Amino acid sequence: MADSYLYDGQRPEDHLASCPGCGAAVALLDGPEPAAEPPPTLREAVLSLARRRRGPAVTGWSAVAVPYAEQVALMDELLAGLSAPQWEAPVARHGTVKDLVEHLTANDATVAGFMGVPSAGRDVPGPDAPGTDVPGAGVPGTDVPGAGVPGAGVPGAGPAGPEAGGGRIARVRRRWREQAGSLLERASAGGEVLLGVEVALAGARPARAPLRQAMIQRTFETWTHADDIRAATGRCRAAPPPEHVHMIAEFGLALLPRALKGPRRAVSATVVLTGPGGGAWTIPLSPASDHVAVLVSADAVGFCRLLAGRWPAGCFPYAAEGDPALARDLIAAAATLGCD
Amino acid sequence: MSDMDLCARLAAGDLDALADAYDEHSRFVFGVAVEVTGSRAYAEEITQNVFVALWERPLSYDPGLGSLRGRLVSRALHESALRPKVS
Repeated sequence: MADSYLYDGQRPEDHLASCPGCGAAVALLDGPEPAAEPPPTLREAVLSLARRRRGPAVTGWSAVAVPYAEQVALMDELLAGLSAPQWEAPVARHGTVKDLVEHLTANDATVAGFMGVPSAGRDVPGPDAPGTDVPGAGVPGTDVPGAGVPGAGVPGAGPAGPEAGGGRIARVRRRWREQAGSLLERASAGGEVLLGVEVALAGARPARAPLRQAMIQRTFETWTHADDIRAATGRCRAAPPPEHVHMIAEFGLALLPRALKGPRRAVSATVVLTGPGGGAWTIPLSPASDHVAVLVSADAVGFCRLLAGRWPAGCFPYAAEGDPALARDLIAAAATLGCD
Repeated sequence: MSDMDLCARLAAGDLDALADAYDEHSRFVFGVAVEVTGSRAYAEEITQNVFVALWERPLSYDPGLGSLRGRLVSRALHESALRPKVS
């Protein structure tokens, strides 16, 4: 009865048909009984024991870990629904969907490694013969799903699971999910001070930023690549929730002065982003910036896609007042801040 | 809030998410445990174990494989089956 069906490639409905225990559980679920009120004291007892077993995240970590966890959950749901051919769908700059997920796993690994998560490694091409899809294969300490990585087992491989000959696909998904899960677990147990420690950011240009920013970048990249996968598999693109948009835009704007080409300019720029998650920011382009030389306005979600490098050069729609050349330079610089 | 959102919050260390999960599903978890074991004392213990396990390993639940309530009740049923029935 336990959960063996989760690992042997059997579909849940097939398992239900052959397992009296699980069948009984579903039957119980469907009826009005056996719901029964637990004693009122039990709620606090549960929360109290939970708090002792795993401390809740401190406020600073919650602010960056919850959005990341939400994007991880959305990506996980998306990957779970991909068919085997969709995993092989071409993605610009990254090869296939499968390659893209490996790229994301590699970029997550910097922050995960900093947090003490063991390396997820990279898939070694091999035969996808039946029986070779050992859970945790290639991942030290994970011979049993979830072992060694608390809370990080991948119970199923979705439609492209082992039964569809997707052994490598399942491993690629599992490695990404286990690493993201472990990162979240470590993050939720981290102290506030850690958030200020500088780490390397992902992306073509070498850059370092406090861990708080690196976590926001993980949210940003996870959403960006989920959108890439949606586009590659004929699904509709999806904007992040407004609070994620705001956070991503702010993350990109903070990097903008360093991304500008040419000598530092002793002016500031005001950026007004409209729509859900928007806002207004004035960014000093050098420490001696004393007046605003340009005001750029654009759609907030569009700006996030610009940061990801998902607009063709020169096509991003924006309005500018003031120095038009500086506005162009800012937009061009913003388009270089993606994680590809 | 969807099961997926709830689990994301649990993974991020939001204890309020566990309180929400408890408020939403504890009647079913506790009810199954009472039904199977015949003991409210056992059922309290099982309910506590089920929710604390969810908090400790939130990503062991995969929304793609069914509802969170189903997962929790299944866990409760499994734990209950290991206890002697109190008649």
